[in-house]
Amino acid sequence: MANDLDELMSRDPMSLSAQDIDAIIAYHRNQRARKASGEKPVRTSSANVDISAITKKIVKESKPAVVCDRRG
Amino acid sequence: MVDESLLMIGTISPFLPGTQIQFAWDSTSIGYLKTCPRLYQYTMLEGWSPKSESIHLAFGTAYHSALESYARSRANGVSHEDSIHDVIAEILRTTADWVMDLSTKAGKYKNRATLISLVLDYLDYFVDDPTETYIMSDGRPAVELSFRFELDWGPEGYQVIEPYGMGQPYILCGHLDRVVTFNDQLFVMDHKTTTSAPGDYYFNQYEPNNQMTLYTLAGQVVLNAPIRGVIISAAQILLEKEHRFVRGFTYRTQDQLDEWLLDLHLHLNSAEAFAEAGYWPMNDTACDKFGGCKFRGVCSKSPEVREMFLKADFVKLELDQRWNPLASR
Repeated sequence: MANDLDELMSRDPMSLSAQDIDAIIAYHRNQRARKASGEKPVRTSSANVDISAITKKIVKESKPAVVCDRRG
Repeated sequence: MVDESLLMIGTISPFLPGTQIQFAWDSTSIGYLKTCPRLYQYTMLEGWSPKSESIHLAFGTAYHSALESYARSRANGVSHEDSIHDVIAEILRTTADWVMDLSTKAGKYKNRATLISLVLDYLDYFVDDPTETYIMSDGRPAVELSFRFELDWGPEGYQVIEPYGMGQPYILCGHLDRVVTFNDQLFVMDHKTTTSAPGDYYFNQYEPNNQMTLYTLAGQVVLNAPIRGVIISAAQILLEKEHRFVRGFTYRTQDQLDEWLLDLHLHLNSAEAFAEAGYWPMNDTACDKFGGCKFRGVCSKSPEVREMFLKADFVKLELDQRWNPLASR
């Protein structure tokens, strides 16, 4: 499996395996968790990302909510 | 009457044959007309489009499509994780040919990576969505619901139009992202992406608002159900922080819907008069609204040189590429 998000994203999407898709999802969830903790996000266009390392980390879950603006 | 089979394949023109009189209207084209008849002329009649506009349209279309796919999948009993997997795979396929200039603000905020993260974050955020997709009487989920219905009046003086036959009425059309139940009430849900903060200032733009009033009316007509208004589901794209999701409600009473239709009658009468005169006046009080009209740089020039400035900064779309309210999705 590739260990670089840029490489994964640049591939022919028809050639991506289910594991590749899961790795991309895990990467973005990890990025969200890092943003939530105040870390600067990794810029994929300028830095290589180790997907296999990321998928091992625990991703913080978000809680659903609706903000209701009562109008009318 | 319009041949429904032609409507469904989306190839019919929204204009009466041989005229500039539009008989099929959606919220976008009505909005152009109400904002400025010259804006309507440049966009709907002549097909001028800014060279840089496609990125916003492509991003918005892909975002809507992804959320639609997810909602359909969930309504069919597929799990959250499996639905997300399929949606992300779909995004990767449909955006494979995107070429974004990441040095521009538009490119930084609207590219494949931000699209995937925005969709993923939205779906995770609302994994236990308190709104539920309305299931129509035929068992289908009310997602990306196209609507077309006739008004009880049409263009004056164009009551016999071949090949449509007698009395072509005006048609209102468009697409509802989703119809949902929330606290035992029915609402249209409309998805928006924004780079600005979705606070009171943001939501105030939807009250009153042409699009949201039409969507409330359309929901009532199409579903024959008491739609209360629209839930605007706003997604703020952020680069350094988590994306932010806020929903706002905007309600419409029956009297407000009736008033909107009355006003529309007069606006469409004006459009017909402009078409017959072959002249679409400029509303120079709207040029600075919403960050400035895209044609401001053209309209600010003397009339005899405007064509030159249009050609420099805009592309003239082919007929089949122009905005068509009757085009199928």
